[in-house]
Order: sequence, then structure tokens, then C-alpha cells
Amino acid sequence: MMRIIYALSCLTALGAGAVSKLDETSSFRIGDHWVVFLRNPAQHFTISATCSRKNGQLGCDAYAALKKVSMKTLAGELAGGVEPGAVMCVKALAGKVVLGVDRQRNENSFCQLRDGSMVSLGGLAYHARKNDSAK
Amino acid sequence: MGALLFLLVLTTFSSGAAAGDCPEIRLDAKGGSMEHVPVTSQGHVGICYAHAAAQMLDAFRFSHPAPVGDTDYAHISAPLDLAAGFSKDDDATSDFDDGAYHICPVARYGISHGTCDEERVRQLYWKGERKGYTRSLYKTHKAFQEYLKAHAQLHDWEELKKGFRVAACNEIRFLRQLATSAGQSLLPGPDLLMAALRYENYTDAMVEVLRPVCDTPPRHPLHPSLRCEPVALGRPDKLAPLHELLAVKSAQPIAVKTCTNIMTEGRSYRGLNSDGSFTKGCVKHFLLVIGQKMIGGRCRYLLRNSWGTDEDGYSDDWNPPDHGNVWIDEAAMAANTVELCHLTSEGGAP
Repeated sequence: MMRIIYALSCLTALGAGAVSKLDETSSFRIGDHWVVFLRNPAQHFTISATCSRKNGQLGCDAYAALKKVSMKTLAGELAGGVEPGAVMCVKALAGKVVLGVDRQRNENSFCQLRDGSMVSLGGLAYHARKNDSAK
Repeated sequence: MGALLFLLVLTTFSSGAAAGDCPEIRLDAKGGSMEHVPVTSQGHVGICYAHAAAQMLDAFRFSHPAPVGDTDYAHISAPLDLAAGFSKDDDATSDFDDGAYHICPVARYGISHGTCDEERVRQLYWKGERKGYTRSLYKTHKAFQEYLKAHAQLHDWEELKKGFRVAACNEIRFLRQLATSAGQSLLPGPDLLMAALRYENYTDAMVEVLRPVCDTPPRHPLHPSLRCEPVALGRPDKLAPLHELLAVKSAQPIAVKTCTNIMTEGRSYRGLNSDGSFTKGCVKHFLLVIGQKMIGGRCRYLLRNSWGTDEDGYSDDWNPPDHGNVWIDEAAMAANTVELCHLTSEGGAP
């Protein structure tokens, strides 16, 4: 029951369009294993495939984080060209930045939340800008 | 129809660049110097200067025949090792300017010491991450950067030392918790690390931890003829030299010192004051120019960033996304750029 309520709250948070179609998948090696991610280009995020529920909706901490992220109090933390999404991950979401590598050896970093789900740092940055401009 | 054609011509010329001035060039395309240089991600570390320098070194290696270059595409230079090693160099204090290092001293450090393999550093990172160890290392590095920054700009030495000691003690306390037999078997040297921290120099700790994976096998050597040189900005067209540098045979990426804000806030952002200094809000950042082409009547540069392959973190002004690279207007870049540099080899053009 809790899971359904959680999934519904996530759906409400980003709007129905956000979970309509995740039409790309990608894999990144993180440590010893490969992790599959789903990408929604229209909604500008890449998220762990484990966030996908049987009903086709997304439900996980990483997805919920997209609704609440903000850059407003973190602008002074970006020294050294650090990724804005990484600052939000660590400072605002109490998450952990993890490094992934694809099969062409290109790197990408993700924010891992308490339930183990991950979301792209760029996705966090995009949604923070969106959330901040809506306020 | 005639009016439409007139409008089209007007739009093309008013944008400041004609297609002839900005033919499409991509150094990451087949045969280009960046073809074998993958996209890197600095995450929360804040070492853009080291990512730019590492990629410049690899591009040079891969685009030149032996003995100046090599085709060991499996060896990708590790930015973290460059950042940690360079921080110990004498240049590190004197070259900290505008809240960021310059690229060339970091590249020179790589040329003189060789570079560590990124895959080996990644493995170390992942191993450490399982024990919560790597985060501490990054915190360590970050703290040292802050220390250097303060060192370069402030003069209240006693206050600084006091703050630094407190930070060091907190780190040591954390590392003591990890110094179990299991922790010690995973990674070299919590003891070394603690000893290094006691000497008030966090970078020693980073270097000690990287040493086992970076020294054996030895760092990949770079040819001593490599030179990192500043590129004079053009006048009045500040970035005009980029067109020439991108068009030469075996063209190399060119590092630009600019503001992060331009990537996230778009073409309206202005990070320079009228005297050419950075505005207070500009977050200094290094990127590599690796191509150019006309998009929508404007000349745009292709910039290799160090934020991974993610495409979502950038302003919509810079669409279409390009797998970790960003297409930014020449005019917008010129309004936010203060410094250019590139690699050459002694006695020869790039």
C-alpha cells in the first residue's frame, strides 16, 4: 500500500508526462558490476532501471528527488567547475556521487540516494533550474 | 519569397560569422586528435583544470607518431593523479589565480612526471567507496584546495592553520574508524594517510594513496619535447585564433578559461567586467575547444566538458546536446573567456 501511495506521489510530482515513455536504456559499469539506466529525453533525466515499477510508473528516491531539488542555496559551492548536480546530491539530498563508465570508456556520474536508486547529475541540475524558476 | 530570402541573408550576415569562416571541424571525429580520448566526469571533486590538462596530453599522444606520441589507447591519463601531484609542486601556490589554477603548470607536471592510468584510479575509487574511504579522500583534496585558495588570498596565517588543524583532526578521527584490518587490506595506508594529515598537508595523503596504483607499473611517460603554451587572444575578435588552430594538421584541443555559468545560464550570461576581469558571480571553469560549425546562422564551438556524457545539465540555448560535449556560440564564449592555451612540441607545430 505504501509503495502505491509513493508511486502515486511521484507521478503527481513530475506530472503524468514524466513517466509516459522512457525510450532509451544505457549501461554503466560501477565498481564490479554493470547497472542499467533508463533515459527520458523529454523530461531530461536518466534514472536507475530499478525505479521502474510493474505498472510502468517510476517510484524511487531518485525519481522523487527531481521534484524537490533546488540550486538556490548552493550557488557558492561550485568552485573548481564541479558539476552542479553533484553539489545538490551531496549537500541537499544527502546522497552519494558515484562514478560510472560505459563500454566506450566514457565516464558519467550519478547521485545515489538512500534506497540505492540513482539519477543523473545533469537531470538533477535541469530539474533544479526548472523548480527554481517555477517558485 | 524575395522578402524571405532577403531576411535569410540578413540573418546570416548579422550573426557575425559566415560559414566560410567557420567550416565544420570535429577533433573527436575519425582521424582527429580527440578520437580516442573518452569523456570524463569530475563529479563533486572540482578539478576541471586537471581534466582539461589530462585530455590535452592524451590528445597529443594519440595524434603523433612515436617517439613524440604513442598509440597506447588503453592508457587514459588520470586527472585526479595530476591534480594531487601538481598540488605538491611549487607552482601550485604561485599559479592559483582567480579561484582556479592555470592549465599549463598542470600539463607540465604531467609531462615531467608521466601520467597514471585512469582505470587503475577508478578501481581504487570504487574499492574505497565500498568502505566510505574515497569520499574521505575527496574531502581531503577539497579541503586542501580550500586551504590553498585561502593561502593565496588571505594573510591571517594563524587563523588558517588553526582551521586547517581542526579539519585534519576530524579527518583523522574518521580514518581511525576505517583502520580495521579489513580496511587496511583493501587500500594502502590509513596509517600513512594519518601521518600525512598530521603534517598539515592533505595532498601528501592523496599522493600516498595513489602511489601504489600509479607507480607500479610506472606512470606512462610523455615526450619531453611537449610544450604547453598560452595562445594570445585576438584583437578585436578575441577568439579568432581558434579558427586557425582548429584547421591545422593534427589540430590539438585548446583550453579556455571561462565561467561555468555560460553552460547553465545560456547565451545571455556575461561573466566579464568591462576591464576584462571576471564578475563576482562567475564560477571559473576550464573547457577544451574541440570543434566548430555553423548552427542556426551562428558559429559555435564544440566544447569538451568534464561533466560526463550527461546531456541534461546544460542550457537549452546550446541544443542539440552532444554526448558530453556542448555547442556554444562564439560570441557568447568571447564574452566570457580570458585565457587560451594548447600543447605543441618543441621544434614543430602541433
